[in-house]
Amino acid sequence: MATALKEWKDNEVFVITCDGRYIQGTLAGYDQLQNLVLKEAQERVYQLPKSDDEDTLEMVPLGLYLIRGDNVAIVSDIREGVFEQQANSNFEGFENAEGIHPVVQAKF
Amino acid sequence: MLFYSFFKTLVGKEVAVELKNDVVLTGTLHSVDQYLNVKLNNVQVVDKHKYPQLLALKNCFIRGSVVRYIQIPTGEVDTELLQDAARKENAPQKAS
Repeated sequence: MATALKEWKDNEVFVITCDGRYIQGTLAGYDQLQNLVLKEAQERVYQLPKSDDEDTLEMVPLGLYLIRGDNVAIVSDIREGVFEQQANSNFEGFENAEGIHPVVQAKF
Repeated sequence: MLFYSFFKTLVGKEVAVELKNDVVLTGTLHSVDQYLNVKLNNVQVVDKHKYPQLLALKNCFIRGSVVRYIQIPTGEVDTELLQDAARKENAPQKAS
């Protein structure tokens, strides 16, 4: 149903795309194909730091962003405090983390 | 439309959704639509150690096209009835 995203309109959401990226922003618009418009979008780029001057999380500002529905895997609201807590604990538990794999349509 | 109706009977139940990117999410089935897009409430990532980035998901919408499997509680499904319905839906239309 086209109303599935209605409750998140103008709220902060978190999108995981089919290529495994995380994009966070305010849901300004959407349609029935899950084409999304995000306001003040930011990409969350996680990496395992190789040295002390590298950060685990880098936020890349993207501005107003339109994501075509085909490329959307997950749209989610954000559990409060989790990002803050992870940042405050210096990303404890991320040592064994893996990136989200890209969506593959068929594996042989 | 059979499986759409079928999933509608599972609303409110705990399900596990495996995505085509190998992520498995469990949660309460909130809604489903004709494309089998699903909405889950109270989502938990199955492999928390592998995907700590996903701990922040609470309620999520999953696009039907990225779903590989949906694991459903065994006790909630009448497989005989489902098979029967599937057979009926595939039965050749009688000439009228």
